[in-house]
Amino acid sequence: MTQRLPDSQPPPETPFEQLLSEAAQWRVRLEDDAATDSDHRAFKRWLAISDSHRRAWREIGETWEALGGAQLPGARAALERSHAEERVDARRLLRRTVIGLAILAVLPAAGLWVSNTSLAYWLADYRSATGERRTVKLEDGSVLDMNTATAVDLHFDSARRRIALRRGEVHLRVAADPDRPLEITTEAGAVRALGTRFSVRRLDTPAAGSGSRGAAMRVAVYESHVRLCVASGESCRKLRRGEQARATAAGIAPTEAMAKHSQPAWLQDRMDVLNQPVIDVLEELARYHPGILHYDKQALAGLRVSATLPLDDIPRALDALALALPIRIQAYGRWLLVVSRSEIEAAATVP
Amino acid sequence: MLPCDSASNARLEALYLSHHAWLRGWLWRRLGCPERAADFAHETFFRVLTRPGTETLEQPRAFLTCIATHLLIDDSRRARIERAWRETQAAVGQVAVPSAEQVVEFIDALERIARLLQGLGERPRKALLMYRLDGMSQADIAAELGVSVSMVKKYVAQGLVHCHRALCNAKHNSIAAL
Repeated sequence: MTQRLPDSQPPPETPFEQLLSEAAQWRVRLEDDAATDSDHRAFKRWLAISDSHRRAWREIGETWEALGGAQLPGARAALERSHAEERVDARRLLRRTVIGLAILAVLPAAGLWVSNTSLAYWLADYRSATGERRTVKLEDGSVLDMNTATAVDLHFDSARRRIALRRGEVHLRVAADPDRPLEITTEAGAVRALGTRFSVRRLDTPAAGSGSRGAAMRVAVYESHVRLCVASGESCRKLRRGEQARATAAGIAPTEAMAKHSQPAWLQDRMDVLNQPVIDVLEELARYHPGILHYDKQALAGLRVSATLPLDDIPRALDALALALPIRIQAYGRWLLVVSRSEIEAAATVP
Repeated sequence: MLPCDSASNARLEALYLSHHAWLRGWLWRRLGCPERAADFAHETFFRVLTRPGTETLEQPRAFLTCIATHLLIDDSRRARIERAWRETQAAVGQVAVPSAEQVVEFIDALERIARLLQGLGERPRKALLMYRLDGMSQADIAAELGVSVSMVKKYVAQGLVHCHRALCNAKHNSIAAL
């Protein structure tokens, strides 16, 4: 007889719809910069519950991918505009079928909505997606290279050229204009230049306690010179070609000399590593990976590496690291990459 | 794949012969252009004939106009997206001009995304686009939308589930069309 006792029945399965919703929430939570190790551990426990959980996670991952492939400048602006027009079209259709003053009252509101999503509104911002590198030619002839996950706002007028770096890292070839100095600003400070080439990267860390960020930036000069001032304006320093410095709102760290480089390596989708801790390298690579790059800091501590790594293909960069180090790379789809210390480390030394 | 047995082929041929001219006329009236009407009629019949079960349609003309209307809507959405994007590009003045193939591919991608987003609420849509297309941080999106970060998370997750459903429906339809 195969009659089952009531208490031996498996617990009722969670509806798949609900699992999809949970998977989406996990995806969003783990994508956030603020995701912690305990988040990742909790996620692994969730993923381990059943095949259905893993299927939900995979399908949400596929949906995520399906929404990609269009991270070009102007993509969102184009979608928002066409969406707004579609709404207005729908209203026109409504007006045709329904006669009444009430509908006329809707139209000015619809017009307002459209102008809010107008070109000028969206064009104030340039953004690059994670793993994307973009080059934008500005109206003054300056050329702005945006590294991965970068966002800038432009404020150009007849008196000045100001670029607010909201996120990420830029390299700028400034077109000379003696009447309009160019300034790149973050909450930490401002870099002012006339005609030169330099890069600025935000190095924000979550400030302890408060919800605001601990704003910091690093400036590197590749041609001519720039003037770096902290946000309060209390301290300024001239940085020359081949020099770099880190600044917070509180002050500027001592100037350092850069290795001989005429431009940042990321402009060529490359990262040059010289005897650096592998966890620092992984942290840097993670900036370019649109999914999750997970690694155990404790297990990997003490490992150092020298290499030239591709930034446009993170799985390949990790494979290159795995050739040189006792580490193991596991890929769960394209989005989740896990780096762990290889258990067969001893094998490497055995002939 | 077109069905191979001769009986259903004969029915499809009859469907085509008895309704094609009518459908072209219907489209002509709507589009005001005989060439485009012919193109759309062709495309409509292609969709209908490559779908299983269409040999036994009870109301073929209603079915044909339904498919044709969907094609017209898709087409106008695509045209809108393409126009919006070209205007945006003209104003941005990018260094690298994409090739014609790249533009087509890109408009395809945008159209696919627009279709997935259909019916999604205003804020989840915005949050999802800012997050996925622009790579904005959750904190920045929260600031831009004037909501909390946890609300942004909710919006994006909600958007993902919505798009998943849309993607599933699209898959089912395309499987049915095979």
